[in-house]
Amino acid sequence: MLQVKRDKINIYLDANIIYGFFKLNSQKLKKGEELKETKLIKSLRDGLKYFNYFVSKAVEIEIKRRLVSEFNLRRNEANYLWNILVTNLKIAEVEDHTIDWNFILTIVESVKIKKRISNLIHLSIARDNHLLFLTGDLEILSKCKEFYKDIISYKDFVKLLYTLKRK
Amino acid sequence: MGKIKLKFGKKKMKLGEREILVRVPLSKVSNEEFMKEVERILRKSLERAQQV
Repeated sequence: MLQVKRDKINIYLDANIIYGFFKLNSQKLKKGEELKETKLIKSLRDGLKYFNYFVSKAVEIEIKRRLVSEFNLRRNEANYLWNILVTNLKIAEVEDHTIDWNFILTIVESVKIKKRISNLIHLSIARDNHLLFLTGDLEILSKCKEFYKDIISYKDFVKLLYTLKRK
Repeated sequence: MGKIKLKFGKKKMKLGEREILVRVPLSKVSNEEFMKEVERILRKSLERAQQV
């Protein structure tokens, strides 16, 4: 049994957190510019000493869908690119998760969620596994903390990383 | 340049009281290798898109 180090914080990465890296670099490539590691990916790597990262099949599906549909990748390329990102950031993929549909139902009945519900699915998985949910979704950040308090933005993540580094 | 070989394994992890099954990477990939591979794959897809 692999024990998660107690002193590390366990973070669930929302799809929008990783997606920006591919979007930026695909645009850079089209313009003939040099590829760049986003600040976010660099921060995640800097945080490896303090955090364990997790994703779910739902994140993998969302990222691979966009790699194929938006970036014109073939199945094996999308698979490889996903695997190399996961390896580089030492991300663990939760295999056997379930989705608490009643939790999502309570949210949409209580607050006005205007966007699609895929990020609420991620939130449900993070909540069930007691993971800190790192997301760039402004609706989740502003409206869902009353349903699950452990939600942070990238800005919060950087602040947390900075605080841990100074200790 | 060929692909970097990546290996994965499945492990049980204990998160608080909960035990979950996760897929974890067993290989190591440096940042340079990672960026090179991202460029290689995205470049291929861009070339393919331009050919169509």
